[in-house]
Amino acid sequence: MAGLIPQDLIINLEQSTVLLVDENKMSLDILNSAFIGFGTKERIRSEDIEGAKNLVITKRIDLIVLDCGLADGASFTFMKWLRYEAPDPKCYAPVIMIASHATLAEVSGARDSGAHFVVAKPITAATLLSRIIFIAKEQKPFVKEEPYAGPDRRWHNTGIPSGTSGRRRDDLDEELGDAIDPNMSQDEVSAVIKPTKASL
Amino acid sequence: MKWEQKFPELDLYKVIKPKRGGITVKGALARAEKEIETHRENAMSEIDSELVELTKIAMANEADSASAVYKHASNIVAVAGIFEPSLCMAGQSLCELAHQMNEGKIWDQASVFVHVESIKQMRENPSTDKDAIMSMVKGLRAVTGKVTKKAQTAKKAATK
Repeated sequence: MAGLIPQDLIINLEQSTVLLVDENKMSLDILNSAFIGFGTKERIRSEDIEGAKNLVITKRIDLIVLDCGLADGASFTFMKWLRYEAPDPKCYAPVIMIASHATLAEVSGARDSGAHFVVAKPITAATLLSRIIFIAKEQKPFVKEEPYAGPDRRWHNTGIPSGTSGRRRDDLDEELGDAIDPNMSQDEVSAVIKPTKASL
Repeated sequence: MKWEQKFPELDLYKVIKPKRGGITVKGALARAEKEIETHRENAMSEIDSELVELTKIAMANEADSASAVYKHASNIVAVAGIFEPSLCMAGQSLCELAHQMNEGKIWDQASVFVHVESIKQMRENPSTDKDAIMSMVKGLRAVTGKVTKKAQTAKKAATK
């Protein structure tokens, strides 16, 4: 995905504040450095969920980067609190969750908890930046109901990204060729659309 | 059920269309990689400390050590995850091994040892060619796969 970002795209994170949450101090230091490189205005960190909740309430937060594997499922508790109980508009804060040991339960739990992206380690600075750009580009609407609150995960297939040839065997070309079969008659079209009683 | 969509105007959306200032993606990545590199030495010595602890645990050969193995292995993954993909993947294999041993309430000293020794090898010879390293990681995953089967059988037997 990182390869899809134009290298000459101009970004500006000089007005952005990112909250980094991870129990591992070294991991926090490394993430902090990545965001210094991206040019973020402020990076605030927390090694536990209570600290992170306080920071969300008291500070302006533009993005949250959260480790999936906090002890006793604390990452998911935090996400539930953020999406349902944090004050508006902080409840809509974009969240990137990082999975260290990505079990299926961890990844699906992260997705269902309302994260924008779940990225599995090993990660690179390019992976992180690409997710931030995707969040900014997609501007996904939010839904906030029980049992899910977070970016709307419903999607429709709009085809392969423009200018690429697709990765799947059944991806179609961007350019459509000429029709190879004659047009369907109205009766044939109606037969497809209108259900009729079958006589067995 | 009707899911009502909301369209919050988030400040993060403005980062890709800045009115003034900014930096290219290429520039931001170069800067980030440079910043991250400043941690390499500390990160590697932290991984070495974790390996010392893991060696002690493997040598002690105590049946209830899977949780401790998981803790140290996950620290390796946390730190190596942004520097050394191969160390990270080997650490993840050890995490999975410990997780499965915990689930099946089993202990497999040889499998823990082979992981710890392989990670040490990767640390001591970081320039070894990538194909060789990926073969090592594949081998570790195969070991973990074998223990997973053993753990699942043990878990089934225990619930009968």
